[in-house]
Amino acid sequence: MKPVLSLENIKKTYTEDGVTCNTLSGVSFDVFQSEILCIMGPSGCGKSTLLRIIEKLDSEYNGSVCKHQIKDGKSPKNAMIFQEHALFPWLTVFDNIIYGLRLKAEDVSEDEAVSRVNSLLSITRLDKFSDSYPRQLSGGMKQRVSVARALAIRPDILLMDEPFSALDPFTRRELQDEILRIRTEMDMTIVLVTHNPEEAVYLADRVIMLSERPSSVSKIIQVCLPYPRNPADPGFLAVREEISGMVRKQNTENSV
Amino acid sequence: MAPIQNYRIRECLKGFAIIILLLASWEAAALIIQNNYILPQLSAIFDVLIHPFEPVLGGDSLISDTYVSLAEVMSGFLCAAALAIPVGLLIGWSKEVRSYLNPVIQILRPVPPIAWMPFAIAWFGIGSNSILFIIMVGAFFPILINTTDGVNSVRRQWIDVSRMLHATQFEIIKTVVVPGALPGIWTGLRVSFGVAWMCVVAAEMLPGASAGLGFIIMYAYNLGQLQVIGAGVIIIGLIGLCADMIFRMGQKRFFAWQGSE
Ligand SMILES: Nc1ncnc2c1ncn2[C@@H]1O[C@H](COP(=O)(O)OP(=O)(O)OP(=O)(O)O)[C@@H](O)[C@H]1O
Ligand SMILES: [Mg+2]
Repeated sequence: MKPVLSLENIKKTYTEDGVTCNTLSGVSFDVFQSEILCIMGPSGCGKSTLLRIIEKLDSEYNGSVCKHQIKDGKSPKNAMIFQEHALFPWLTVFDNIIYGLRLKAEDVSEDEAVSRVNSLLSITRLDKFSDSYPRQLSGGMKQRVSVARALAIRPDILLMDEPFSALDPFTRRELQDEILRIRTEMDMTIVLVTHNPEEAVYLADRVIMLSERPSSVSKIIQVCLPYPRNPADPGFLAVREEISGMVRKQNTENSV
Repeated sequence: MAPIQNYRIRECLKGFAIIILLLASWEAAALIIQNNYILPQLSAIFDVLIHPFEPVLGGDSLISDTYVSLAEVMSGFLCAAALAIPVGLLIGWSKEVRSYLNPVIQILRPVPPIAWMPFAIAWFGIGSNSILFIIMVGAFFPILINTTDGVNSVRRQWIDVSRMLHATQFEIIKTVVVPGALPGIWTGLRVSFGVAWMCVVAAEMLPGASAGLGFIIMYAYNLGQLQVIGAGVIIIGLIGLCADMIFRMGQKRFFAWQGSE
């Protein structure tokens, strides 16, 4: 398998009011093309920080984030979905989704942009809400809009920071299935942060466990189950138990 | 629906009841005192108000004075906005600019605009240019402060989304910072229009003015025509109220998204 992204020895310290907080202490791993990679770890260990570093929203760190060339020699394009949906409340659903395509960075004609947005609206089943404002949508619909907004620029790598954690189980499963479908359709690589072992096993090809802060990679788990996965399947349950066990262990070590 | 409307009507009636009570006490006091130089009767005030196009005290009509004041306020207000909004955006956006400008602003802001009048007269001469300057000074700071606050209220996540989609610095300001700060800017405009309106009346009361609502009030005082003063005060109040209502309606109409997040 070919890596599209290599992280090497990423270190990050926050300094606030003279107090330094050692967050990441040398995180290294590869992300392979077309895989779904889940990142797990205790709360506050630096998962969001790591995604922000990959997305180049944060440039104050040590180590290197290296993107490898993919098909026809171009460097892969990232997009990110944030922990909170962060829609622009003054724009309609349509205008939120088309936002990235109207920036100079995306060299897309208006016609092309509109047709892309329309197809995303139907993929995410938001057709009827094209002219609604974010305040008129439910939590699940808002998260779908932010998925569509990130997909509009046709990223090769999609970074997601606990995208579904605020949703009810039914909506969450619906969106997870959508993500699985979209990734096969669009041939994307997905890096997803989650707290939920079941979500990790349902989606991931590989799960990376980060340790308590200052954190580094403590374990990488290969999930060798065929898609679509069945959460009631014994194989599924076994992997989920393995991961839950590790999370529990981390938590108890933490409280000692 | 019906109970809500009844409720609204009741709330309105409460306010009106107090206004009527005040007017009635005024009229009663006027009838008891019987002295036009202290308290003119309401009928005399309304007599002036219902003939807005007729010359008052041998000068211009009330309408034309109102027009003069409004025109001065509008031009001063617009100039102030044209200056304060960009500066406010800059201060809100750039820490560097803020450190340079903040101390000056904090020192100048508490100065009542009218205190600049002598300087204004020295620089711009007696008359409407000086008044315009005073209005600009008065209108400038509320817009500036609220624009800066508006920029600071822009959520970091929105800017992150924009950067994530590879927006340039200019695009971030144009598509995220300005729209996000707009409710704050609008509040600034509303407050500043009120201040500008007070400034114009005060400035016109000073020597050198030859028209406007402030001028007519001062002029009527010198002639002992208190009913004209009463009429002027009522017009000033009503116009201030109308302007505020228009801004409030705009706020509801354009910024319904605010606070919904
Ligand atoms: N801007 C900041 N300034 C100072 N410290 C910060 C800042 N952002 C994050 N931190 C610290 O860095 C650590 C990691 O934060 P981060 O948000 O990456 O954690 P996380 O793993 O995403 O947590 P969660 O699972 O709760 O979302 C935290 O302990 C936090 O206190
Ligand atoms: Mg996080």
